Amino acid sequence: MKLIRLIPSEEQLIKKCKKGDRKSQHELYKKFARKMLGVSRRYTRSTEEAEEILSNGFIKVFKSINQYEGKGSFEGWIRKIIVNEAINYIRYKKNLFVETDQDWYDHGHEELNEQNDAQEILSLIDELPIGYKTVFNLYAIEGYPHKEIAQLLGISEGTSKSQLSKARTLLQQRISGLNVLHKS
Amino acid sequence: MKEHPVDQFFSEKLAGITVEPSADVWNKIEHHLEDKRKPWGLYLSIAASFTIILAIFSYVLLKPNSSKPIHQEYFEQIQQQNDISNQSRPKSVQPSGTLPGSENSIPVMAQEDQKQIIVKHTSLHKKTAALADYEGDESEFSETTLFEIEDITLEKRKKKNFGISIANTDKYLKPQQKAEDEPYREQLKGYTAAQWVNITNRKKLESPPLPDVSLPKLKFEKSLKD
Repeated sequence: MKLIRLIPSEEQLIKKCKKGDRKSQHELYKKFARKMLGVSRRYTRSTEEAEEILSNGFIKVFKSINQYEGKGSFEGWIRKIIVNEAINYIRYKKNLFVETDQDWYDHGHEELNEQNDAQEILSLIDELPIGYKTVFNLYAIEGYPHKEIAQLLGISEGTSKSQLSKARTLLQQRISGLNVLHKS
Repeated sequence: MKEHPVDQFFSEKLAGITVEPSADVWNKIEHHLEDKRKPWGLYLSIAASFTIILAIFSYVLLKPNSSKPIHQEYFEQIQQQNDISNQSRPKSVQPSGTLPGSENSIPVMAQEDQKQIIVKHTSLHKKTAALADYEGDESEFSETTLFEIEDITLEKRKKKNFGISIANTDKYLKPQQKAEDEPYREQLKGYTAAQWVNITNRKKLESPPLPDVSLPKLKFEKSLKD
């Protein structure tokens, strides 16, 4: 019996997207949109802003899909575009590294417990000053080295490091009541 | 390098986070991707409109060059035929029949020649029919109409060349005079016609015969002074 593939493989989808097939573009979008919105959401404070990054990012993905040569995972490639788009967005919209007296935006959060879900953890990141947040996202979650972060944000490596450590301190204060940190 | 516990905590919780996007996001992307194609349509329509404009211009510009009126050609043809047939017709032969409209211009030939003439005649008829059509009068086309057409078109051409219609004298009348009687207008018509003759012959313009007539200021008056 002939095997009929109902769901096209990622490779086939990319091939069709390279030809500009709208249906395949939509398929590809549906496959990665939720995950990538999760990525862009970490860099912003609202879902609306994150969606703007997502749409701009996907437009770039489809425009430059011919440059993807199959080296490395496709998801990683898209993710990189989304992250770059998020940084562009932040740099364009906001003055990234203005030091403020108020390091922590306290919205009177309830005491965190162990059942906190991703959404609540996300709100902790949300409350960080934008500069700390961006560096923390890039270093701790995306895994970018300081050198690359400094280049991306147009800051010195020293600034990147200090922003990261400040972010860590603030976040640690916030979650110190929880028993989740494995202190050595 | 060991991962910092705070980094570890957050990356575990947030690395795989997903958020459901609203439907607008894809619409926006799709809209943008379609926008990319637009320029081609734009270029195409520009090219198309340019071609149309070019076509109209060339038609307008080339038309006068070939404007020895078609009917004039046929008119000449008829005259030629008349001349030839007048010369070649033997005097002794009687007309063997009448053709439609023939009493005016086309002489009827001897029977042996008739077949040929009829053919010519019908072809002429077709042409005059076409001309009559052109003038918007289908009912009475004959050789006589041909001459009428010729007169009308010559008159039209004159008007066209001067750019002003002689018949349209109303615009030179003051409003209160517009409602007044015919003779006044007739007189004025005659006057304007005479002035056009003067202009074309490079003669001085006469002053209007009536007190209440205002003439349009003619810009080319200067060049007419000899």
